[in-house]
Amino acid sequence: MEKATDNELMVRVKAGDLERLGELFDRHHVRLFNFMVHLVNNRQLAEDLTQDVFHRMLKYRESFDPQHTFLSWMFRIARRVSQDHWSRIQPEAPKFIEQDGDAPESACEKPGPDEVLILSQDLEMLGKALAGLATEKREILILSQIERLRHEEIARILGCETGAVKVRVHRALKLLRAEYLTLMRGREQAV
Amino acid sequence: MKCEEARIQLADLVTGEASQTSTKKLEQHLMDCAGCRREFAGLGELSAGLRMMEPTKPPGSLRIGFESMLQEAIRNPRSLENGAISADKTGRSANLRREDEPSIHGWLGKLVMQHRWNLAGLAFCCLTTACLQLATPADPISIASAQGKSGRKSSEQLAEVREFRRFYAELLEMRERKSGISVVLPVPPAPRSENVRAVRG
Repeated sequence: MEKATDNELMVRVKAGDLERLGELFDRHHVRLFNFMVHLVNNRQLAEDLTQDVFHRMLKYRESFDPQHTFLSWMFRIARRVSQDHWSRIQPEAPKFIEQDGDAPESACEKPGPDEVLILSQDLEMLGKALAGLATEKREILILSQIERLRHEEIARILGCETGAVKVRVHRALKLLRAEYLTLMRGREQAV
Repeated sequence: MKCEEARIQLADLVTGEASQTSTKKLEQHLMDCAGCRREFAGLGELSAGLRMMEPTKPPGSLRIGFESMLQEAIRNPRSLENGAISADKTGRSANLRREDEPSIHGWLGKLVMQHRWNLAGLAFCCLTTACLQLATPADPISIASAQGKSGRKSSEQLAEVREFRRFYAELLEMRERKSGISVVLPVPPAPRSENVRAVRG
């Protein structure tokens, strides 16, 4: 027997068969939890926010549109939950301002030959570099690189054009590289 | 293809979303441009590194909380409407508390958590007192009283206990009066009336 797709399950949830959400939880709670962990850098908080996402999935199940993917809908809710969290703790500092025009391009515009990255499995440092980025940069990198969503889906989640997603992914990667190199240099100096 | 355009398209190439046509164009550009080649290598390594990051395992309580919320929603669909995700001062949201129905368990738990150190201290004191009580040898009067209270409750036995108690008090007074002489109280014998009479005589 073929397994039901995410969309089919969510359509059933929407129709009132709430128990089907359990299957969607089984499939996606790990990635959703990791998305939150990367965004808030706190496991306990990430757990609470993940729970909040599933609660909202039930509460706002009517808003699910089967013409789009379940994943984009789920991550849109997740993003809203994390936005609400940030606005609760720092209402004066909105974290999700899109910064298409003000990214510090010069920081890594022309990398020298010595700056070509040699990751050599240094994923811990990469994780720290990722955690050091602004939330919206981190978010787009998680969605595109870790969750491997298509640019089209990310565009739907962020509410922007696919072209804009490509530009943002590129800029975020460059910023990540700059952050990573800064950390690496700091470590080398400390040694 | 210009460098600027190529570098934006690199994101597609890195994520494997580039079409065949644009991939060919990009590859041609990378052959000719050392700067873009270097950039592609750097971004490619970063992307690969991000994809290699191990996912964090969620705690088991996430599933428990979810299942509890789901069962509640199935039992009472209106709970979704009333339910609210609240947050404390640190911004940490609490697990699906219903604000309109404060739970007694929630209040109790909060109270216990607030005073956990006081409660621990109190428990420690009680335990210590109990241990000291057990470690102290019981005096014969208490034994006699206890026997009188719990076991044989005849009036004769109670009278014996009272008499024995008086005798013991007299002995203590005697020791105080003759403070120069050390009176070592012997371990009193069992509270039998003939023993008491013998000592007093």
